[in-house]
Amino acid sequence: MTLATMEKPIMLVLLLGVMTSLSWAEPMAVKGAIRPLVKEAECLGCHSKTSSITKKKGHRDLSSKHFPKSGTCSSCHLPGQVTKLRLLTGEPISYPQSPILCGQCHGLVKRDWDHGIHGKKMGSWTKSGEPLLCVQCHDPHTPKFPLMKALPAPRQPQLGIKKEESYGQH
Amino acid sequence: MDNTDKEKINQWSERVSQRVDKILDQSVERRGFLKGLLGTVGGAAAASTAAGAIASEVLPESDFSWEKFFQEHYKVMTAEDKEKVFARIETETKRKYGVDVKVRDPQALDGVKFAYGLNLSKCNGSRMCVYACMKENNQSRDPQIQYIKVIEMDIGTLNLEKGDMYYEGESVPKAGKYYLPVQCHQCDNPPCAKVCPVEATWKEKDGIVVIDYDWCIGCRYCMAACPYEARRFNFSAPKVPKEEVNPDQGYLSNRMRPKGVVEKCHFCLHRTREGKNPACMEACPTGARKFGNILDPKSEVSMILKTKRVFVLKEELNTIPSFFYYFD
Repeated sequence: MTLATMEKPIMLVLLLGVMTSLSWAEPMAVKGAIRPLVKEAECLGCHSKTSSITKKKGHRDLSSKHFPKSGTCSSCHLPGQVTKLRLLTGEPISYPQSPILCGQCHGLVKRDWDHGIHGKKMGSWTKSGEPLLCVQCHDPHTPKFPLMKALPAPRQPQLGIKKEESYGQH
Repeated sequence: MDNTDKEKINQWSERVSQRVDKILDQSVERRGFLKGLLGTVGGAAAASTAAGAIASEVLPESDFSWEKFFQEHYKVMTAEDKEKVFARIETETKRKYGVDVKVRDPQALDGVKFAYGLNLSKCNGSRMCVYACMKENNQSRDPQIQYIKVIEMDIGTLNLEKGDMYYEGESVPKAGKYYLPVQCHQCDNPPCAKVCPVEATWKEKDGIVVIDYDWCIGCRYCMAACPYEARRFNFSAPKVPKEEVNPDQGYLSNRMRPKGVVEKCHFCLHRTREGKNPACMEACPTGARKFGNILDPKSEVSMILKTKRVFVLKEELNTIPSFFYYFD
Protein backbone atom coordinates (compact mmCIF):
# COMPACT_ATOMS: atom_id res chain seq x y z
CA MET A 1 0.00 0.00 0.00
CA THR A 2 1.38 3.35 -0.92
CA LEU A 3 1.06 6.66 0.85
CA ALA A 4 -1.38 7.91 -1.72
CA THR A 5 -3.93 5.19 -1.07
CA MET A 6 -3.61 5.53 2.65
CA GLU A 7 -4.70 9.12 2.56
CA LYS A 8 -8.24 7.99 2.05
CA PRO A 9 -9.26 7.00 5.54
CA ILE A 10 -12.92 7.53 4.79
CA MET A 11 -12.81 5.19 1.82
CA LEU A 12 -11.05 2.66 3.97
CA VAL A 13 -13.59 2.80 6.75
CA LEU A 14 -16.37 2.51 4.20
CA LEU A 15 -14.71 -0.46 2.57
CA LEU A 16 -14.22 -2.20 5.87
CA GLY A 17 -17.83 -1.57 6.75
CA VAL A 18 -18.95 -3.15 3.50
CA MET A 19 -16.64 -6.09 3.89
CA THR A 20 -17.67 -6.90 7.43
CA SER A 21 -21.34 -6.58 6.60
CA LEU A 22 -21.24 -9.18 3.83
CA SER A 23 -22.84 -12.29 5.16
CA TRP A 24 -21.38 -14.77 2.70
CA ALA A 25 -17.93 -14.11 3.99
CA GLU A 26 -18.88 -16.03 7.16
CA PRO A 27 -16.01 -14.50 9.08
CA MET A 28 -17.89 -14.49 12.36
CA ALA A 29 -14.97 -15.90 14.22
CA VAL A 30 -12.67 -13.43 12.58
CA LYS A 31 -15.04 -10.52 12.98
CA GLY A 32 -14.57 -10.71 16.71
CA ALA A 33 -10.83 -10.84 16.31
CA ILE A 34 -10.59 -7.80 14.06
CA ARG A 35 -9.93 -4.78 16.19
CA PRO A 36 -11.90 -1.65 15.36
CA LEU A 37 -9.92 1.33 14.18
CA VAL A 38 -9.77 4.25 16.58
CA LYS A 39 -12.07 7.03 15.50
CA GLU A 40 -11.13 10.67 16.00
CA ALA A 41 -14.40 11.30 17.76
CA GLU A 42 -13.44 8.80 20.45
CA CYS A 43 -10.30 10.77 21.26
CA LEU A 44 -12.05 14.10 21.09
CA GLY A 45 -14.71 12.93 23.52
CA CYS A 46 -12.22 13.52 26.34
CA HIS A 47 -9.28 15.39 24.83
CA SER A 48 -9.32 18.68 23.09
CA LYS A 49 -7.50 18.60 19.80
CA THR A 50 -4.40 20.18 21.19
CA SER A 51 -4.22 18.51 24.59
CA SER A 52 -1.40 16.16 25.36
CA ILE A 53 -1.79 12.44 25.96
CA THR A 54 -1.05 11.23 29.44
CA LYS A 55 -1.45 7.95 31.21
CA LYS A 56 -3.16 9.61 34.14
CA LYS A 57 -6.90 9.07 33.76
CA GLY A 58 -8.49 7.25 30.88
CA HIS A 59 -5.49 5.26 29.79
CA ARG A 60 -4.35 4.28 33.25
CA ASP A 61 -5.13 0.60 32.78
CA LEU A 62 -3.29 0.54 29.51
CA SER A 63 -0.74 -2.21 29.76
CA SER A 64 2.08 -2.21 27.32
CA LYS A 65 4.72 -4.69 26.41
CA HIS A 66 5.81 -2.24 23.73
CA PHE A 67 7.14 0.36 26.16
CA PRO A 68 9.13 1.42 28.08
CA LYS A 69 11.39 -1.23 26.53
CA SER A 70 10.92 0.07 23.01
CA GLY A 71 9.99 3.65 23.66
CA THR A 72 7.67 5.99 25.48
CA CYS A 73 4.20 7.28 24.60
CA SER A 74 5.63 10.07 22.59
CA SER A 75 7.72 7.71 20.46
CA CYS A 76 4.58 7.04 18.48
CA HIS A 77 1.98 9.58 19.65
CA LEU A 78 2.45 13.21 18.73
CA PRO A 79 2.44 15.25 21.95
CA GLY A 80 -0.10 18.01 21.89
CA GLN A 81 -2.24 16.43 19.16
CA VAL A 82 -4.29 13.43 20.13
CA THR A 83 -5.43 12.57 16.64
CA LYS A 84 -1.94 12.30 15.22
CA LEU A 85 0.94 9.87 15.39
CA ARG A 86 4.50 10.68 14.62
CA LEU A 87 7.35 8.97 12.88
CA LEU A 88 10.84 8.79 14.34
CA THR A 89 11.74 11.76 12.17
CA GLY A 90 9.09 13.80 13.93
CA GLU A 91 6.86 13.94 10.89
CA PRO A 92 3.19 13.77 11.96
CA ILE A 93 0.97 11.13 10.36
CA SER A 94 -2.68 10.26 10.78
CA TYR A 95 -3.97 7.06 12.35
CA PRO A 96 -4.82 5.23 9.09
CA GLN A 97 -1.19 5.68 8.02
CA SER A 98 0.07 3.77 11.05
CA PRO A 99 1.68 0.88 9.06
CA ILE A 100 4.47 3.27 8.10
CA LEU A 101 5.08 3.87 11.77
CA CYS A 102 5.20 0.14 12.54
CA GLY A 103 7.45 -0.46 9.54
CA GLN A 104 10.16 1.78 10.98
CA CYS A 105 11.22 -1.04 13.28
CA HIS A 106 9.48 -4.06 11.72
CA GLY A 107 10.79 -3.48 8.22
CA LEU A 108 10.81 -7.08 7.02
CA VAL A 109 7.26 -7.67 8.17
CA LYS A 110 6.19 -4.41 6.58
CA ARG A 111 7.77 -5.51 3.30
CA ASP A 112 5.84 -8.79 3.45
CA TRP A 113 2.68 -6.88 4.29
CA ASP A 114 3.18 -4.62 1.28
CA HIS A 115 3.21 -7.70 -0.94
CA GLY A 116 0.25 -9.27 0.83
CA ILE A 117 2.34 -12.09 2.31
CA HIS A 118 1.92 -11.00 5.91
CA GLY A 119 -1.52 -10.06 7.12
CA LYS A 120 -4.97 -10.72 5.85
CA LYS A 121 -7.26 -9.48 3.14
CA MET A 122 -10.95 -10.21 3.44
CA GLY A 123 -13.36 -10.91 0.65
CA SER A 124 -11.50 -11.60 -2.55
CA TRP A 125 -8.29 -13.22 -3.78
CA THR A 126 -8.17 -10.86 -6.75
CA LYS A 127 -6.20 -7.66 -6.45
CA SER A 128 -9.15 -5.55 -5.39
CA GLY A 129 -9.79 -5.04 -1.71
CA GLU A 130 -7.73 -3.49 1.03
CA PRO A 131 -5.69 -5.54 3.47
CA LEU A 132 -6.27 -5.14 7.17
CA LEU A 133 -3.94 -2.68 8.91
CA CYS A 134 -1.38 -3.82 11.49
CA VAL A 135 -3.45 -2.50 14.36
CA GLN A 136 -6.57 -4.35 13.26
CA CYS A 137 -5.00 -7.64 14.32
CA HIS A 138 -2.27 -6.60 16.75
CA ASP A 139 -2.92 -4.45 19.79
CA PRO A 140 -0.30 -1.72 19.23
CA HIS A 141 0.42 -1.59 22.96
CA THR A 142 0.66 -5.38 23.37
CA PRO A 143 1.40 -6.59 19.87
CA LYS A 144 1.85 -10.30 20.51
CA PHE A 145 -1.03 -12.25 19.01
CA PRO A 146 -3.15 -13.61 21.89
CA LEU A 147 -3.55 -17.32 22.56
CA MET A 148 -6.87 -18.79 21.46
CA LYS A 149 -9.13 -21.63 22.39
CA ALA A 150 -9.13 -24.34 19.76
CA LEU A 151 -12.48 -25.50 18.42
CA PRO A 152 -13.41 -29.09 19.31
CA ALA A 153 -11.40 -31.98 17.91
CA PRO A 154 -12.90 -34.20 15.24
CA ARG A 155 -14.74 -37.23 16.54
CA GLN A 156 -12.75 -40.42 16.67
CA PRO A 157 -14.03 -42.84 14.04
CA GLN A 158 -16.36 -45.46 15.47
CA LEU A 159 -15.19 -48.89 14.56
CA GLY A 160 -17.33 -51.97 14.48
CA ILE A 161 -20.71 -50.54 13.51
CA LYS A 162 -23.28 -53.33 13.32
CA LYS A 163 -24.59 -54.25 9.92
CA GLU A 164 -28.24 -53.58 10.76
CA GLU A 165 -27.43 -50.07 11.95
CA SER A 166 -25.58 -49.05 8.84
CA TYR A 167 -28.19 -50.54 6.53
CA GLY A 168 -30.99 -48.78 8.37
CA GLN A 169 -29.80 -45.32 7.33
CA HIS A 170 -30.95 -44.93 3.77
CA MET B 1 -49.88 -54.93 -30.88
CA ASP B 2 -53.61 -54.49 -30.47
CA ASN B 3 -55.59 -53.43 -27.46
CA THR B 4 -56.19 -56.87 -25.98
CA ASP B 5 -52.45 -57.56 -26.00
CA LYS B 6 -51.82 -54.33 -24.17
CA GLU B 7 -54.42 -55.21 -21.58
CA LYS B 8 -52.90 -58.63 -21.07
CA ILE B 9 -49.47 -57.16 -20.52
CA ASN B 10 -50.86 -54.63 -18.09
CA GLN B 11 -52.65 -57.29 -16.10
CA TRP B 12 -49.57 -59.46 -16.03
CA SER B 13 -47.27 -56.71 -14.87
CA GLU B 14 -49.80 -55.65 -12.25
CA ARG B 15 -49.96 -59.18 -10.86
CA VAL B 16 -46.20 -59.64 -10.76
CA SER B 17 -45.59 -56.29 -9.18
CA GLN B 18 -48.10 -57.08 -6.45
CA ARG B 19 -46.23 -60.25 -5.68
CA VAL B 20 -42.89 -58.44 -5.69
CA ASP B 21 -44.38 -55.83 -3.38
CA LYS B 22 -45.19 -58.49 -0.86
CA ILE B 23 -41.66 -59.85 -0.91
CA LEU B 24 -39.87 -56.52 -0.82
CA ASP B 25 -42.19 -54.53 1.38
CA GLN B 26 -39.34 -53.31 3.60
CA SER B 27 -37.29 -51.60 0.87
CA VAL B 28 -39.04 -48.82 -0.98
CA GLU B 29 -36.06 -48.08 -3.18
CA ARG B 30 -35.62 -51.57 -4.52
CA ARG B 31 -39.31 -52.02 -5.10
CA GLY B 32 -39.52 -48.89 -7.16
CA PHE B 33 -36.60 -49.97 -9.25
CA LEU B 34 -38.00 -53.46 -9.90
CA LYS B 35 -41.37 -52.10 -10.82
CA GLY B 36 -39.69 -49.78 -13.25
CA LEU B 37 -37.86 -52.70 -14.81
CA LEU B 38 -41.10 -54.64 -15.13
CA GLY B 39 -42.60 -51.68 -16.89
CA THR B 40 -39.85 -51.60 -19.48
CA VAL B 41 -39.91 -55.37 -19.94
CA GLY B 42 -43.67 -55.35 -20.32
CA GLY B 43 -43.46 -53.41 -23.56
CA ALA B 44 -43.22 -49.87 -24.73
CA ALA B 45 -46.94 -49.19 -24.41
CA ALA B 46 -47.14 -50.50 -20.89
CA ALA B 47 -43.91 -48.76 -19.93
CA SER B 48 -45.26 -45.28 -20.37
CA THR B 49 -48.24 -45.85 -18.09
CA ALA B 50 -46.32 -47.90 -15.57
CA ALA B 51 -43.44 -45.44 -15.34
CA GLY B 52 -45.88 -42.59 -14.78
CA ALA B 53 -47.55 -44.45 -11.97
CA ILE B 54 -44.21 -45.35 -10.43
CA ALA B 55 -42.91 -41.81 -10.61
CA SER B 56 -45.82 -40.43 -8.64
CA GLU B 57 -45.89 -43.33 -6.25
CA VAL B 58 -42.26 -43.86 -5.48
CA LEU B 59 -40.42 -40.57 -5.95
CA PRO B 60 -41.49 -38.78 -2.77
CA GLU B 61 -39.89 -41.57 -0.75
CA SER B 62 -36.80 -42.73 -2.58
CA ASP B 63 -33.65 -41.37 -4.12
CA PHE B 64 -34.28 -43.10 -7.38
CA SER B 65 -35.41 -41.26 -10.47
CA TRP B 66 -35.22 -42.07 -14.16
CA GLU B 67 -33.59 -38.73 -14.93
CA LYS B 68 -30.78 -39.53 -12.55
CA PHE B 69 -30.51 -43.09 -13.84
CA PHE B 70 -30.04 -41.95 -17.43
CA GLN B 71 -28.01 -38.83 -16.61
CA GLU B 72 -24.98 -38.24 -18.83
CA HIS B 73 -21.43 -37.72 -17.63
CA TYR B 74 -20.80 -34.12 -16.61
CA LYS B 75 -18.40 -33.53 -19.47
CA VAL B 76 -20.87 -34.50 -22.20
CA MET B 77 -23.89 -32.77 -20.70
CA THR B 78 -25.20 -29.84 -22.71
CA ALA B 79 -26.27 -26.61 -21.04
CA GLU B 80 -29.91 -27.70 -21.26
CA ASP B 81 -29.16 -31.06 -19.67
CA LYS B 82 -27.37 -29.29 -16.87
CA GLU B 83 -30.33 -27.00 -16.23
CA LYS B 84 -32.56 -30.05 -15.88
CA VAL B 85 -30.09 -31.76 -13.57
CA PHE B 86 -29.76 -28.68 -11.38
CA ALA B 87 -33.55 -28.41 -11.16
CA ARG B 88 -33.76 -32.06 -10.14
CA ILE B 89 -31.10 -31.59 -7.46
CA GLU B 90 -32.89 -28.53 -6.15
CA THR B 91 -36.19 -30.38 -5.79
CA GLU B 92 -34.45 -33.34 -4.19
CA THR B 93 -32.74 -31.08 -1.67
CA LYS B 94 -36.05 -29.35 -0.97
CA ARG B 95 -37.65 -32.71 -0.33
CA LYS B 96 -34.91 -34.09 1.88
CA TYR B 97 -33.84 -31.00 3.81
CA GLY B 98 -36.75 -28.62 3.33
CA VAL B 99 -34.47 -25.84 2.10
CA ASP B 100 -34.66 -23.83 -1.11
CA VAL B 101 -31.22 -23.95 -2.65
CA LYS B 102 -29.70 -22.67 -5.86
CA VAL B 103 -27.38 -25.03 -7.69
CA ARG B 104 -24.95 -23.39 -10.08
CA ASP B 105 -21.99 -24.50 -12.10
CA PRO B 106 -19.33 -21.78 -12.23
CA GLN B 107 -16.75 -22.50 -14.91
CA ALA B 108 -12.98 -22.28 -14.59
CA LEU B 109 -11.58 -18.83 -15.34
CA ASP B 110 -9.14 -18.30 -18.18
CA GLY B 111 -5.55 -17.60 -17.23
CA VAL B 112 -6.08 -18.72 -13.67
CA LYS B 113 -4.38 -21.57 -11.85
CA PHE B 114 -5.16 -21.69 -8.18
CA ALA B 115 -2.54 -22.29 -5.54
CA TYR B 116 -2.56 -22.19 -1.79
CA GLY B 117 0.15 -21.02 0.58
CA LEU B 118 0.10 -21.85 4.27
CA ASN B 119 2.38 -20.16 6.76
CA LEU B 120 3.17 -22.72 9.44
CA SER B 121 4.79 -20.05 11.61
CA LYS B 122 1.48 -18.24 11.82
CA CYS B 123 -1.00 -21.11 12.06
CA ASN B 124 -2.09 -21.36 15.69
CA GLY B 125 -4.18 -24.51 15.44
CA SER B 126 -7.47 -22.86 16.39
CA ARG B 127 -9.41 -25.00 13.87
CA MET B 128 -11.43 -22.00 12.68
CA CYS B 129 -10.81 -23.12 9.10
CA VAL B 130 -12.13 -26.61 9.77
CA TYR B 131 -15.49 -25.39 10.98
CA ALA B 132 -15.84 -22.64 8.40
CA CYS B 133 -15.27 -25.27 5.72
CA MET B 134 -17.81 -27.57 7.31
CA LYS B 135 -20.48 -24.87 7.20
CA GLU B 136 -19.67 -23.60 3.74
CA ASN B 137 -19.57 -27.00 2.12
CA ASN B 138 -22.57 -28.63 3.80
CA GLN B 139 -20.49 -31.39 5.28
CA SER B 140 -22.27 -34.07 7.24
CA ARG B 141 -22.44 -33.28 10.96
CA ASP B 142 -23.25 -36.85 11.92
CA PRO B 143 -21.34 -38.92 10.93
CA GLN B 144 -18.85 -36.11 11.05
CA ILE B 145 -16.99 -35.21 7.86
CA GLN B 146 -14.28 -32.56 7.82
CA TYR B 147 -12.10 -31.78 4.81
CA ILE B 148 -9.29 -30.20 6.83
CA LYS B 149 -7.21 -32.10 9.34
CA VAL B 150 -5.08 -30.00 11.64
CA ILE B 151 -2.15 -32.06 12.85
CA GLU B 152 -0.32 -31.03 15.99
CA MET B 153 3.38 -31.79 15.80
CA ASP B 154 6.50 -31.21 17.83
CA ILE B 155 8.62 -28.31 16.69
CA GLY B 156 11.55 -29.55 14.66
CA THR B 157 9.86 -32.69 13.37
CA LEU B 158 7.95 -33.44 10.20
CA ASN B 159 6.87 -37.00 10.80
CA LEU B 160 3.18 -37.09 10.01
CA GLU B 161 2.76 -40.41 11.79
CA LYS B 162 3.83 -38.85 15.08
CA GLY B 163 1.35 -36.02 14.73
CA ASP B 164 -1.89 -35.76 16.69
CA MET B 165 -5.04 -34.63 14.88
CA TYR B 166 -7.32 -35.15 17.90
CA TYR B 167 -5.63 -32.59 20.14
CA GLU B 168 -7.75 -30.40 22.41
CA GLY B 169 -6.48 -26.94 23.20
CA GLU B 170 -7.65 -24.45 25.80
CA SER B 171 -4.94 -22.06 24.69
CA VAL B 172 -3.26 -22.68 21.38
CA PRO B 173 -0.56 -22.61 20.11
CA LYS B 174 0.90 -24.80 22.81
CA ALA B 175 4.54 -24.36 23.70
CA GLY B 176 6.82 -26.60 21.65
CA LYS B 177 4.14 -27.50 19.11
CA TYR B 178 3.27 -26.40 15.63
CA TYR B 179 0.16 -27.08 13.60
CA LEU B 180 0.00 -28.53 10.13
CA PRO B 181 -3.39 -28.27 8.42
CA VAL B 182 -3.82 -30.83 5.66
CA GLN B 183 -6.52 -30.79 3.02
CA CYS B 184 -6.72 -31.71 -0.65
CA HIS B 185 -3.54 -30.52 -2.35
CA GLN B 186 -5.12 -30.31 -5.83
CA CYS B 187 -2.14 -32.15 -7.31
CA ASP B 188 -1.08 -31.52 -10.88
CA ASN B 189 -0.41 -35.25 -11.18
CA PRO B 190 -3.35 -36.53 -9.18
CA PRO B 191 -3.15 -40.21 -8.24
CA CYS B 192 -6.81 -40.14 -7.19
CA ALA B 193 -8.04 -39.11 -10.63
CA LYS B 194 -5.87 -41.74 -12.31
CA VAL B 195 -7.34 -44.66 -10.44
CA CYS B 196 -11.01 -43.73 -10.80
CA PRO B 197 -12.57 -46.53 -12.88
CA VAL B 198 -15.50 -44.41 -14.07
CA GLU B 199 -13.87 -40.99 -14.48
CA ALA B 200 -16.04 -39.48 -11.79
CA THR B 201 -13.11 -37.33 -10.65
CA TRP B 202 -10.83 -35.27 -12.84
CA LYS B 203 -8.65 -32.18 -12.91
CA GLU B 204 -10.11 -28.94 -14.20
CA LYS B 205 -8.02 -26.43 -16.12
CA ASP B 206 -7.73 -24.06 -13.16
CA GLY B 207 -6.06 -26.82 -11.19
CA ILE B 208 -8.97 -27.99 -9.05
CA VAL B 209 -9.61 -31.72 -8.84
CA VAL B 210 -13.39 -32.14 -8.82
CA ILE B 211 -15.83 -34.98 -8.22
CA ASP B 212 -19.16 -35.58 -9.94
CA TYR B 213 -21.17 -36.99 -7.05
CA ASP B 214 -23.80 -38.37 -9.43
CA TRP B 215 -21.19 -40.33 -11.33
CA CYS B 216 -19.22 -41.65 -8.35
CA ILE B 217 -19.85 -45.33 -7.68
CA GLY B 218 -18.28 -45.28 -4.23
CA CYS B 219 -15.49 -47.78 -4.89
CA ARG B 220 -13.08 -45.67 -2.80
CA TYR B 221 -10.06 -46.45 -5.00
CA CYS B 222 -9.25 -42.73 -4.92
CA MET B 223 -9.16 -42.74 -1.14
CA ALA B 224 -6.60 -45.50 -1.21
CA ALA B 225 -4.58 -43.69 -3.87
CA CYS B 226 -4.44 -40.28 -2.18
CA PRO B 227 -1.21 -39.98 -0.19
CA TYR B 228 -2.60 -37.04 1.81
CA GLU B 229 -5.74 -38.78 3.06
CA ALA B 230 -7.72 -35.86 1.76
CA ARG B 231 -10.79 -37.73 0.61
CA ARG B 232 -13.83 -38.57 2.72
CA PHE B 233 -16.53 -41.15 2.16
CA ASN B 234 -20.22 -40.84 3.01
CA PHE B 235 -20.73 -44.14 4.78
CA SER B 236 -24.30 -43.14 5.55
CA ALA B 237 -26.59 -40.39 4.34
CA PRO B 238 -25.12 -37.04 5.42
CA LYS B 239 -27.05 -35.23 8.12
CA VAL B 240 -27.08 -31.43 8.04
CA PRO B 241 -29.47 -29.40 10.20
CA LYS B 242 -32.01 -27.56 8.06
CA GLU B 243 -30.99 -24.12 9.29
CA GLU B 244 -27.30 -24.75 8.62
CA VAL B 245 -27.63 -25.74 4.96
CA ASN B 246 -25.73 -23.33 2.74
CA PRO B 247 -28.15 -22.52 -0.10
CA ASP B 248 -25.43 -21.27 -2.46
CA GLN B 249 -24.37 -24.54 -4.04
CA GLY B 250 -22.16 -25.63 -6.89
CA TYR B 251 -22.74 -28.83 -8.84
CA LEU B 252 -19.11 -29.94 -8.53
CA SER B 253 -18.54 -28.48 -5.09
CA ASN B 254 -20.84 -28.13 -2.12
CA ARG B 255 -24.24 -29.42 -3.18
CA MET B 256 -25.79 -32.02 -0.90
CA ARG B 257 -24.10 -35.37 -1.33
CA PRO B 258 -25.95 -38.66 -1.40
CA LYS B 259 -24.92 -41.69 0.62
CA GLY B 260 -22.08 -43.75 -0.79
CA VAL B 261 -19.99 -41.15 -2.62
CA VAL B 262 -16.56 -39.67 -2.03
CA GLU B 263 -16.03 -35.98 -1.36
CA LYS B 264 -13.11 -33.67 -0.63
CA CYS B 265 -11.84 -30.11 -0.61
CA HIS B 266 -12.34 -28.29 -3.92
CA PHE B 267 -10.86 -24.89 -2.96
CA CYS B 268 -14.49 -23.70 -2.61
CA LEU B 269 -14.75 -23.46 -6.38
CA HIS B 270 -18.25 -21.97 -6.28
CA ARG B 271 -16.70 -19.03 -4.40
CA THR B 272 -13.19 -18.81 -5.81
CA ARG B 273 -14.24 -18.97 -9.45
CA GLU B 274 -16.23 -15.83 -8.74
CA GLY B 275 -13.33 -14.04 -7.14
CA LYS B 276 -14.16 -14.67 -3.50
CA ASN B 277 -11.82 -16.17 -0.96
CA PRO B 278 -12.18 -19.80 0.03
CA ALA B 279 -14.05 -20.18 3.32
CA CYS B 280 -11.06 -21.54 5.24
CA MET B 281 -8.91 -18.56 4.31
CA GLU B 282 -11.70 -16.15 5.19
CA ALA B 283 -12.02 -17.71 8.62
CA CYS B 284 -8.33 -17.93 9.48
CA PRO B 285 -7.76 -15.60 12.46
CA THR B 286 -4.00 -15.30 11.97
CA GLY B 287 -3.69 -14.75 8.24
CA ALA B 288 -1.68 -17.93 7.83
CA ARG B 289 -3.60 -18.94 4.73
CA LYS B 290 -2.91 -17.33 1.36
CA PHE B 291 -4.75 -18.15 -1.81
CA GLY B 292 -4.48 -16.85 -5.32
CA ASN B 293 -3.61 -17.19 -8.96
CA ILE B 294 -0.14 -18.62 -9.47
CA LEU B 295 -0.05 -17.43 -13.10
CA ASP B 296 -0.25 -13.81 -11.95
CA PRO B 297 3.35 -12.89 -11.04
CA LYS B 298 2.18 -10.21 -8.61
CA SER B 299 -0.32 -12.31 -6.71
CA GLU B 300 0.27 -13.16 -3.07
CA VAL B 301 1.01 -16.82 -3.72
CA SER B 302 3.49 -15.97 -6.46
CA MET B 303 5.28 -13.58 -4.13
CA ILE B 304 5.37 -16.29 -1.48
CA LEU B 305 6.91 -18.78 -3.91
CA LYS B 306 9.52 -16.21 -4.89
CA THR B 307 10.47 -14.92 -1.47
CA LYS B 308 9.83 -17.75 1.00
CA ARG B 309 11.32 -21.20 1.30
CA VAL B 310 8.26 -23.24 0.50
CA PHE B 311 7.88 -26.99 0.60
CA VAL B 312 5.20 -29.50 -0.29
CA LEU B 313 4.23 -32.63 1.57
CA LYS B 314 5.55 -35.95 0.28
CA GLU B 315 7.40 -34.35 -2.60
CA GLU B 316 9.06 -37.68 -3.41
CA LEU B 317 5.75 -39.09 -4.67
CA ASN B 318 5.76 -36.70 -7.63
CA THR B 319 2.17 -35.65 -7.12
CA ILE B 320 3.08 -31.98 -7.75
CA PRO B 321 0.68 -30.39 -5.28
CA SER B 322 -0.70 -26.86 -5.62
CA PHE B 323 -0.57 -26.49 -1.85
CA PHE B 324 2.60 -24.96 -0.43
CA TYR B 325 3.75 -24.75 3.16
CA TYR B 326 6.36 -22.36 4.47
CA PHE B 327 7.87 -21.00 7.63
CA ASP B 328 9.04 -17.44 7.97
